[in-house]
Amino acid sequence: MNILIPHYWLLEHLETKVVPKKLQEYLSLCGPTVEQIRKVEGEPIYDIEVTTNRVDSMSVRGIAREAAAILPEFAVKATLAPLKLIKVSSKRDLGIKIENNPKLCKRILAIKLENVKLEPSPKWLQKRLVQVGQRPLNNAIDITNYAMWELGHPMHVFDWDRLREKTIVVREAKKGETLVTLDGKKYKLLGGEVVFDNGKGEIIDLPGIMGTKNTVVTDKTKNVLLWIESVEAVKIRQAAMGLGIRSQAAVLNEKQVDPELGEEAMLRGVELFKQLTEAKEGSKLVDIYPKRAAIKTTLVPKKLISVYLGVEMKNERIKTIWEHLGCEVKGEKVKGEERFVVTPPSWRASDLMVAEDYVEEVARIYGYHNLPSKLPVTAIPDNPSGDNFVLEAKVKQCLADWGWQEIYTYSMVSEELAGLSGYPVKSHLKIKNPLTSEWVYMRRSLIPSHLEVIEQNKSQKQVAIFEMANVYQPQKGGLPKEELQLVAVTNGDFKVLKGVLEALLERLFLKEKEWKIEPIEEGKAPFGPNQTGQVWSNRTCLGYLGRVGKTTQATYALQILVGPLIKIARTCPAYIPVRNLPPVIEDMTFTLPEKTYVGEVMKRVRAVSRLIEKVELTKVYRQNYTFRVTYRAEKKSLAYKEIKPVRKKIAAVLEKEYFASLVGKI
Amino acid sequence: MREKIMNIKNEALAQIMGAAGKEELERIRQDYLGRRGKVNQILKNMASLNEEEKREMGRLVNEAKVAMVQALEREGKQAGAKGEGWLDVTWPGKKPTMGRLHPISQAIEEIARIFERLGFYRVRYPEVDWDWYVFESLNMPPGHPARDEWETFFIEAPKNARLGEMVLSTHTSNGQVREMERARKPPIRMLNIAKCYRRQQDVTHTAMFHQFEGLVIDKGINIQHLKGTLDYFARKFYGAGAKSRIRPFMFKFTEPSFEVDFSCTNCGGRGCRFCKSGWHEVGGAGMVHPNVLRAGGVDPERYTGFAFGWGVERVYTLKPGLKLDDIRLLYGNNLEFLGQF
Repeated sequence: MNILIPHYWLLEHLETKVVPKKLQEYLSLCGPTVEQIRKVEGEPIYDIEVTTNRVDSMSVRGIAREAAAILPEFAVKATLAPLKLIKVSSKRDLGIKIENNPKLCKRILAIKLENVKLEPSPKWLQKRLVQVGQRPLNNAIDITNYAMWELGHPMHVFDWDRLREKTIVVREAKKGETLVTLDGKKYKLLGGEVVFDNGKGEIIDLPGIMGTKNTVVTDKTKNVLLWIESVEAVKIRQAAMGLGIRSQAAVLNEKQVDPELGEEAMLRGVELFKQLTEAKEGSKLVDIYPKRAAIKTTLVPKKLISVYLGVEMKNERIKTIWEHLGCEVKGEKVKGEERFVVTPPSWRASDLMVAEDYVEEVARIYGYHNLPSKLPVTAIPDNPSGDNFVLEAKVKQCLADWGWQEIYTYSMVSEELAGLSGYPVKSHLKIKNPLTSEWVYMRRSLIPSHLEVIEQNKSQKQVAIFEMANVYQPQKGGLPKEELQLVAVTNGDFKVLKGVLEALLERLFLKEKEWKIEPIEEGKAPFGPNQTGQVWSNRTCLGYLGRVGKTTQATYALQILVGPLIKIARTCPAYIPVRNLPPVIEDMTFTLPEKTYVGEVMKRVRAVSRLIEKVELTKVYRQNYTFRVTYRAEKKSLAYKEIKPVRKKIAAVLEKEYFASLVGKI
Repeated sequence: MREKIMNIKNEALAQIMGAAGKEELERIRQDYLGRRGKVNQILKNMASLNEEEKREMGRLVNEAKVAMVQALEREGKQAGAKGEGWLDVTWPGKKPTMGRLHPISQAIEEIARIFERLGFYRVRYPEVDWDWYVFESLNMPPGHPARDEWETFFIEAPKNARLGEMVLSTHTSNGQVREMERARKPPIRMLNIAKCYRRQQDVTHTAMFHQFEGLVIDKGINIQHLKGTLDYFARKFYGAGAKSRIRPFMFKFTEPSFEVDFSCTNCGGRGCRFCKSGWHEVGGAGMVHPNVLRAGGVDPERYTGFAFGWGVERVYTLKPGLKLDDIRLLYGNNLEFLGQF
């Protein structure tokens, strides 16, 4: 959360001569980050990011406190100015019955102020509110915002006369109750929100978040009830999130504003009311504070500081840092071990809880920039995980080197894309709170996303893309199975895609006979029927390839399971001695019936004789297929007459098994 | 005599036309026009002729010489084009088909290599994970305001009694407790690079993005080691002059917590239009919170550790000279864009 603080306002709480640029640098190094210094009407305004655990810093005074602890570390004089507060002298009764529920509300402060003169705030106050991003309304409302900005505790002002029943009951809302907030918006409550009731069942405030229209000040207001409460932070958060009201009050109150701050803020509010609205005290200051929160004292072993910082610090130095931040510190020695007993100030009580929290305070004020920078010299672990990231990278690099462009598409897909995955939309993991209808399901196939990319890149004549990413298979009662897939898609030549698979497997040192492709007639969506091949290695399915999509331009995809592929991959080949004997190379042309799987034919040829080393497809003309057969024997040169019977056998086998007729004579 | 001159001339011209390079042309020139060349031989033989014949023959020899010199000159110029001695190096090259790794893959590989040298090993953990690993074991109980920082996607699935709701992991920190469970015992030097998801999409955020998370746990690990590791990464990833710095921040799963800045590669840290302060914020880091160590079964009395987790996109777009100011382009899959990387 960010807060805007004008430099001159800060100086009312911080006695220092520091220039804004330096204050920005020093605060950012040791405390909250000053993201920028804005110039508004020539005056520097700090835009400061305060972390959610430091709601105590969400005010002018809170930043002044931090600065007073940090600046002296940079040899810049700075002290926190004392807070001058008025006293309330009235002894009159408040005249309002308050029924608190201490479980819901830790503290209530209230005072009646009479004869309030409502008008626009004076220029100086309006200017400050505008500079910090608040809209001035009238003096009564502006005072509450001003005091909150200055001291960090939200407060509220009721129209005294509109509180007809003169009763305020703190209770939890029932589901379905409604209220209208001061900005005129109607809310149906979810139940459990802390509300104020007028004793007759009517809600008259949504405390700590926003006032309601029925009790807020109007143009006609004469008397007001100035009010501060400390509702349980968890309750504020539930209500503010549930109803979607992110007022500044809610943003602060949900992070446990220190109830101790309430009194200071209240007195500042009264002072401003007297000053700006000519109000008179109408009652004493009521303070319902059933139980002060216990402040936890922590033991911090001195050793812990050197363990975390890696430097030895003097006890006095450590003590001073904590004391500058408002802590009480005692040093002691127990069984030869030095340690500190530290009690935080009330405004840090919910943030400084364990010894490590105190170590952080010492470290940051000492300055992280003052610590040396060293590489760890401890033992290098030797228990790698099962994934082979090196081979995965090699596979990707191969494809890129062979001319394929890697893409990254979103894991989340639209209903339409999910429907094209080959799995029913229902069998996809669904996002409960999608950002757009484009991203609703966790995909089960990358192919639809890739077809979309091809469609988007129509201007490119030919596209060859690939991606390695997870698909998500829902599992009953558990996390989905995340399966890493390699998918390559092209609208070019199928043979090039197939060649990539062959080359890839060769690159991973798999022998040709160690894998095969089986045509699947019924297809495997999104691969079409009669156009799908399943890739096998032994009994492991490595994936699929074939034609995909419904576009008129043929598109082909390869989908490989990375896990099984990596498992069978080798890092080196099994070397075969190089043969110096010359091979005999011959071509044979066959006429094959239509729709003959030529790969199977070639495999069959290869199996005819041990003398056959290699079979290649060199030419196709209509149904005529020319195969180049390489013959080679292991220990001698082959003679023509030794090949003839093999050639005869090839022709015979193909004729018998594939109805193939040889073109020409043997 | 006349015939002889004509023969020599024709013979020379034929040889010149058929010459295969400058060297051969030079040899031909020597043969015919050199001091002891064929032309001079003829001139020597002219002594026996009468004046008229001498004038006539002299004219013929001269014509032959001029023709030869011109031919030599012409062929000499062209010899380079035909011969071995000349190569047109300005001819447009024929490129192999160039594919490319996606910039995110390139960045991931570079990051992994840098940390590998420091003994970090890579791991892989679920992208779809339980609330326990993503938040609760990291010291963020359900409903805690600190969770607001992470705009979380929830999955429609039954809650697990022990581990809570199923979510898309908003950061790679879900690997912290998982890695402690896997490794059982320090030392741990994990590098978890994975896809993460947050419910936001703008110039600097994409709903799907990548983070890399380092986790080091051992005896005696302190803030100096974190600083050393960050500086090492900055120098290797951005160049020798790059520096890192840490500033106070708050994460529930680290104590102390830091925001990490790298010095601007554009101005070298002096401050420029691009960085404003000389630094670029890249992400978070911190000393592992004792509660997180406990959640992972590691004894915080004996071990300490540090962790950091940053966006791959973020650190990549700060590379000097890249000038990529809209990270959505990385996932737009415009092939003309990707073809530049």
